[in-house]
Amino acid sequence: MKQAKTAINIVNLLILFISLIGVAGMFTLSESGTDKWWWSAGLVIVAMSGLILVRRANDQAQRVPVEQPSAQADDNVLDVFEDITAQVTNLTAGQIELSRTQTEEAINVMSLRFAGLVEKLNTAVKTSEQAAGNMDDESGVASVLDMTRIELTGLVERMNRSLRSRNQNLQNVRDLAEQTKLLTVMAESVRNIAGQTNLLALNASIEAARAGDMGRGFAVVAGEVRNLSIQSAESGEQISEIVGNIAKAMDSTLERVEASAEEDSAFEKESQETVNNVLSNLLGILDGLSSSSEILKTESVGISHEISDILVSLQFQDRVSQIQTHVRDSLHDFEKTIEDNRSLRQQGTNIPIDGAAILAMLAAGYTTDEQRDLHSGGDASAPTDEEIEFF
Amino acid sequence: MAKTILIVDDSASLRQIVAIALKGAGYDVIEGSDGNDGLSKLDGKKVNLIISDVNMPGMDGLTMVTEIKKMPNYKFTPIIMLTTEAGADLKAQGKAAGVKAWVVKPFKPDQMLDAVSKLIVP
Repeated sequence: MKQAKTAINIVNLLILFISLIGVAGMFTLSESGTDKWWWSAGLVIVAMSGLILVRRANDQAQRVPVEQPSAQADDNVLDVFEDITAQVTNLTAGQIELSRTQTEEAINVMSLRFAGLVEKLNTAVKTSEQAAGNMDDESGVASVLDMTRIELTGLVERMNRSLRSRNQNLQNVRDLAEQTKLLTVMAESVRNIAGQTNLLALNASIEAARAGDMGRGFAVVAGEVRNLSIQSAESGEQISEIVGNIAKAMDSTLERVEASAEEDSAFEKESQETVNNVLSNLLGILDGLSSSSEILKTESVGISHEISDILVSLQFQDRVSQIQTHVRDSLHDFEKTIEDNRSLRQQGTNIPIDGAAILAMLAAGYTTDEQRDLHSGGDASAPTDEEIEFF
Repeated sequence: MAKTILIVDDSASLRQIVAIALKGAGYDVIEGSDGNDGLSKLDGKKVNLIISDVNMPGMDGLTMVTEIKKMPNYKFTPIIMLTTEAGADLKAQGKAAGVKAWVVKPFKPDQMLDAVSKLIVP
């Protein structure tokens, strides 16, 4: 076929050359004034006719292989077709694999980062919950603060009771001090009675001396009475001294207890205020914590839903990867089928490619319903949610 | 003590996605990249549940299930298949092999956790 084309081309060039000679001769002869230029014109006409005939022959020669193909021409066309198909198939499979691996690597990195993000988020939420406490939980801050308030109020109340008891004791000491004053007066009274008795005993001694022997016994009695009055006076003196000492000690105690009571009263008031301030501050913080905890809870529920949706979306990469893997493998299978067929043909066995078998092999490898739907000409829509099937 | 779940899937990203859902619910997770790798992870340690893909290079999921059912320590360990396959034939094969539940990808984390909590052995 190539030889025929070359021959036609050579004839074409030859006719063109003859035409050029004819045209050149025609101009030369017409300018020289001779009538022989008609010969040259005839030469051109003949050459042009030859050119038309050759062109027709060429067209026919080009149509011949289509109408009557030779075995050699078939093989050449098939070789070229198979080469291109094998190359395109191989390259396409390579491109699909490249995009698949790149997507998978990217999704994998994204999943890892996403996992890290989720973990950090969970830790943050848990830490915050632990810090703020669950408002319904016994170990929560609200509960702890409430317990603290009850305990502190109880403490202040106990302090108050202690103060009241101390004030009662103070009053008792004051009463005792009053009694001590009475004792002092009584001791003075004893001393006065002793003085009077002593005077009476002296007078009785004088009267006994005047009575002579008759009054001797009476003088002894008067002496004893005098001794008693002296002892009474000494006792009165000692009582006064002791009562004085007791009074001094009581005065000193009273001073100290009164000072202490004042301090305690001031302390109790101050404690009550401190407790109230602390509780008020803590309750303020608790309110803040409580509201931020509520916000965090609400947000974490929202984030949890978002995470759930993202986890569903991320799985589409797996489906796409499976489809791409299948397409890659199918292309390689197709390439192999072509290669095998060519080897057989070159060995002299010409087995036609079984299109139905190739399609069946393609269908056998599908892993998703949408692939099967697409294969059968249906609507390959995204997968719908399916319930989990328990066996 | 946290329950341990083995995830077997050739897609690292999918293993990661399942792990995020399970770890968030307090489970410990170990991973296998195909049937052979999954079996190698069953080396005596306590595994409370197995989640496996079906289509994997090397050993596929259903073959792995058949092998697991021959292992004395793990033959009663519940298995959930997690796959893009939704065909009745494969599901029937799974059921016959001893699979407890069939989940079609993409799975919803809540549904998966629900299935796990229903099936997991103490």
